[in-house]
Parts: sequence; structure tokens; C-alpha cells
Amino acid sequence: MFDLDAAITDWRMQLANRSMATEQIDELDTHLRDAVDSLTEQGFASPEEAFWLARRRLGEPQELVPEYHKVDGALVAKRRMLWMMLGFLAGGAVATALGGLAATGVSLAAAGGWSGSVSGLISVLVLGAGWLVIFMWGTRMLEPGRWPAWNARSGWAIAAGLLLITLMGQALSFANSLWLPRMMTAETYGHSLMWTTLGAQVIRVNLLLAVVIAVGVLSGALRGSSRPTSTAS
Amino acid sequence: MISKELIAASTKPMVLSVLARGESYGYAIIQQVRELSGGKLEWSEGMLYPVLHRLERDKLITSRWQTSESGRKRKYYRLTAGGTRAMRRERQQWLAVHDSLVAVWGAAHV
Repeated sequence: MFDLDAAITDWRMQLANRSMATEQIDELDTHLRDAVDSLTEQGFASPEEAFWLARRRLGEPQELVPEYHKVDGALVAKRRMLWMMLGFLAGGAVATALGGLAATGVSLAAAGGWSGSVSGLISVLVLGAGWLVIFMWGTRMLEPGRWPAWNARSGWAIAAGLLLITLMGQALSFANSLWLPRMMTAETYGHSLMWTTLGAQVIRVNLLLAVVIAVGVLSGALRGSSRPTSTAS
Repeated sequence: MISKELIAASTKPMVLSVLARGESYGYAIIQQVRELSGGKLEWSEGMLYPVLHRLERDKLITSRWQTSESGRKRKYYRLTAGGTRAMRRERQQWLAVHDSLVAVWGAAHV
């Protein structure tokens, strides 16, 4: 049994995968439904035939999207640049927050009477686990349909969220750096700091690189054929 | 059958002129052009929307979303003051081309 809504949803997805804006997709969606209605009302076609005919008349997604991009090529490039910068900023915010958590890990371990090296290693583990969780969550959220639709408030919400995360991380780091040297000997503090610094580097560079490559190879994204191709049933 | 190039060139004045008659949306604009041209101007439908998008970016038209009685959300376009001026300029130019052609043909007694 042909499901018009499902077919249209699938078609919308193909447009969205080619980075067409939601508002433009909505407009084409209405056009398609108007055309289907008009074709079926005249009795020329079943809903399924009407859908395929209307879709053809409108143009296949691979022809349609470049026409829009011709109009605002510079805008598309700018938007990609903004997303890259947003990723960079989000990475910074997450790093700050996890740094704060890792420092808290050192404080708690030190308060429990562990040596500087052990405290430092614990903070490294906290950092590693934190990045892994963020990364897993991030890859899952990349699947289509996971994010709520973008609206006028989304940009502000993201900015506020990043700022909040950064401030929290900084507050944690600050509190710990006030508190730690007062409760540890200089030697213990030095030991823990050495592990934390080295560990943070290893995790932010080596571990993340390894995870990105592993996930990339496993999912096929690095082999260049990552675009999901779906067909309407 | 009108050539592709001529259709492409006339899209902008056609859209502006249809909208000069009143606010409208993509699907209705296509229907109207088809009727007014007696079926001679057959647009590939997808072509219209990037054109509307460009005209809106150039501030010749503005748009608003409105929900119809059937509950369908439609994007309605109308001319801006700049769009009206652009439409008049286009009309002068097209009429100039038209008049010249007619004059030449008239002289040749076609």
C-alpha cells in the first residue's frame, strides 16, 4: 500500500541530505502535495502515480539543489565556515568543561589520600572517559532526524549552552586550582600536575585521533561513500 | 515551442508581472503562467523556486507563510517597491524589443 506521507518524508530527506534549508524544503513539499491533489482530483492518476509524476515535474533532488546553490553559492560557503567555527568553539567548550571535571577528579583523589601520580592518572581517566562519551553521543546525534528542527532561537540556545558549559568548566578549574595547592605538598601537586598535563595532551590528540579513524573506517565515512542513499518504497 | 533560453530570460519579468497582479505562491504562479500563455510557456516547475529565492534575496519580492483553509502551509510572495520598479524597467525593455521586431517584420511585409 502506497503511503504518500512516507514517500514525501523520504524525498524531503534526500533534499536535506544535499543541505537544502528546511524552509525551502517546506515550500517544495507544499507544491508537491498541491500537484498530487490536482492530479488525483482529475482522476488521471492513483496517489502513487501522481506522486511520481509530480516529483518528476518538480525535478529530481540532484537537479533541484544545485539550482538553489547557484543562487547563493557564497552563502553556502559561509554557512559551512560558520559550522566549522562552531565545531571548533564547541570543542573548546567541551575541553574546558572536561578539564574542570578532571581537576575535580584530582582533588577528590587527593582528598582520599592518594599519591600525586595516582591522582593525576585518575584525572586523565576522567578526561578520557568524558571525551569518549561526548564523541559517542556526537556520532549518534549525526544520524538524520535526531536534532530538533532549527528555529529562530536555536542559534541563541547553542551560544548560551556553549557559554554555560565553558563557564562551568572554568569555575571548576578555578576552584580546584585554589584548593589543591593548599591541601597537597608541593611535590605531590607537582606529580599530579605532570600526569594531568601529559595525559590531557595524549587524550586530546592521540586518543581522539584513534577514535575518529576507527569510527571513520568502520562506518565507511573515510572511504568517501558516506552519503546515505535511500529510495522511496 | 518557446526555446529554453527565452523561457529562462523571461522568467524574472514573468514572475514580477504575475506578482504585480497580487500576492501569490509558487504553485499558483505556475498555473497562472500556463493559463495566461495558453500553454505555450511550459516551465519546468522546480526552476521557479530558485528564481523566487533569488528575487527575494535581491529584495524585489517579500514572502510570508500562511496556512490555507485546508491546513496547508504556503509561502506567499508579493512585490516590494523595488520589485515594482524592476517590473516597470523590464516591461519597457521587453516592449522595446517587441516593438523593434514588429517594426522590422512590418517593413519586410512578412
